Amino acid sequence: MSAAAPILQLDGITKKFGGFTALSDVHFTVEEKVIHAVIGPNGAGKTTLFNVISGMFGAEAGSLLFKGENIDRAKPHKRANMGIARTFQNIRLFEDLSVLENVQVSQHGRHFPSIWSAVRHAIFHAPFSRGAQEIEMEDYAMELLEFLGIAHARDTNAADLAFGERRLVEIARALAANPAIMLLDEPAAGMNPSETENLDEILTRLRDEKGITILLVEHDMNLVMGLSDYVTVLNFGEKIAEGAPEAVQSDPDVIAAYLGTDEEI
Amino acid sequence: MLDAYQESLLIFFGINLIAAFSFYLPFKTGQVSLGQAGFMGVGAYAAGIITTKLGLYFPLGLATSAVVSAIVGLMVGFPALRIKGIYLLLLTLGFGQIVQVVALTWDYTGAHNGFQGIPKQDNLLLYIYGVLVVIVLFFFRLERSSLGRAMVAIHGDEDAAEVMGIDIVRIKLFAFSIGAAFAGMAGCMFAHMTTYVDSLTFGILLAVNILMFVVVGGGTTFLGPIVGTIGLYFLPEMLRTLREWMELIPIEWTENSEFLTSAYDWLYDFFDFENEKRWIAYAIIIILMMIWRPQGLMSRDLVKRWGRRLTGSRA
Repeated sequence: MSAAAPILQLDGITKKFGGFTALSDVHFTVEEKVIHAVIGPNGAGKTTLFNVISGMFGAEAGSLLFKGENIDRAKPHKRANMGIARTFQNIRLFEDLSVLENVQVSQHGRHFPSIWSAVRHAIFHAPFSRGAQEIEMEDYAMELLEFLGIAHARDTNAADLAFGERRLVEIARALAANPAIMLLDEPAAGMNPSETENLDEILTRLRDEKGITILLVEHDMNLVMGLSDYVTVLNFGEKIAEGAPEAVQSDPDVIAAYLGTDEEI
Repeated sequence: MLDAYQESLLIFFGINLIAAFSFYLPFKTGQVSLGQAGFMGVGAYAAGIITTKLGLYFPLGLATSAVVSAIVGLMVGFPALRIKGIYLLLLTLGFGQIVQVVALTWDYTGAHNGFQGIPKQDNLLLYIYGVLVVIVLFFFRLERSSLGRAMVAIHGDEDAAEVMGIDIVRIKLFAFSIGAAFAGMAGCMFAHMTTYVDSLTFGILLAVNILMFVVVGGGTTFLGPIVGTIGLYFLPEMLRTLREWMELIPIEWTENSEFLTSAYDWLYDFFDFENEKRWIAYAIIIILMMIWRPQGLMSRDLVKRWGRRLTGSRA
């Protein structure tokens, strides 16, 4: 056993859609403060895995431990407030809100854990001014936007942003929840090479400076292999390999999953 | 001072505006309700029992209408959490029907004879605008707060909002039940203005009317319901007043010209927005709105842009 407890532990997660098994008895652990990639061909169950971890889907079998605590029954918003944040492969920003407001939305649950605290704050804090808490929220959100280099877009509606910037806003929004672990679903998809390079640097800094664990689903193999500390490979809902990036790259099962094998023909 | 007609105009405008706000609050969290007329009915009957049957004071009746409607709102809102869009519309529509059937068959409150003899409240204007000031202040604060942003997020993408740590169940229930309380108070005011309500008073046409105020005015800022209710309730009523003013035009001015005579007749007819013609106008307005400004006359973006122009560019 390593000294640090794993931040996330999956024990035999199984998820079915009707007769189709999207995840089949998946076991793996994510150590703290690492970049852990989950790769696999299309349809391998990577996004389903994220949906199960963030609580959008319930699993048929298996259990999830977050910092040693069982979170199988925790609702999605509870999991977010415990420290599990995510982004979406098909960007899902709140289009009617500005960039700044999008980021502030994920601070809500942490600042106002109950509906009554939220209502009380909305109605009674210093009439006709914003109140200390609002100012604190805005300052922190701006800090994150500056960290990601999109502070100039603070008042732009999320719907009006360029694609690469929308991906960064998703990351800023996930960061605003003060997560211990971030699930990033194909953050580099649709980015040009210089944007990808920038993303590489941002993710490295998140791990090294902010101590955030990153669980990464990504198809850009250069990014994955250069960035990750550890890689788990899924194929047809099953874990087929895991280990350091170099080891996984030369694993015959992985090569077979991506390229096919002679026997299958 | 106000004459009786002006006072009743202001009273009914206020009641309609409170009803519009009752639709607007759940709508902020993406819940479209055709049950607001039903909640008005619940409030009207609850308050009527307090003031008429038990002979207690009006303020107690008003408070009861709010509390009872809020509780019924919670009961309707809970199953409503799981369903969206057209199905939620049907569920709330069904709720409105249930209220109507109960009103029609409950002997205690007069059943098909209607709830009669509700005492007319003298200071209704004060009560209505008192409640409205509180509601407007509530929305003014809400829309500048974290909770307001959370509601916009829920409206935009419920699942994403939940994964961002927003407790959507509590916030949606809160919005639905407080909205129901607003509607209940509107129903209470209505009953104590007309002194008579029955099962037909709070029907589907009223529910659609309430929805129209918000859809036309705009559902993303509290100015929307205000503008919508002015546009769809106050203006048509003012047009009717114009008819009376038209009657002051001496007949000699128009009788010599066939064109002027027919123009006069057409306008005189047009300004009568009572009954069916109002619905034709509504239908045309909603079609035009959906084409040109689906977000309503007022919108959050518009208000933000005005705000920025007023305060200059922000640092």
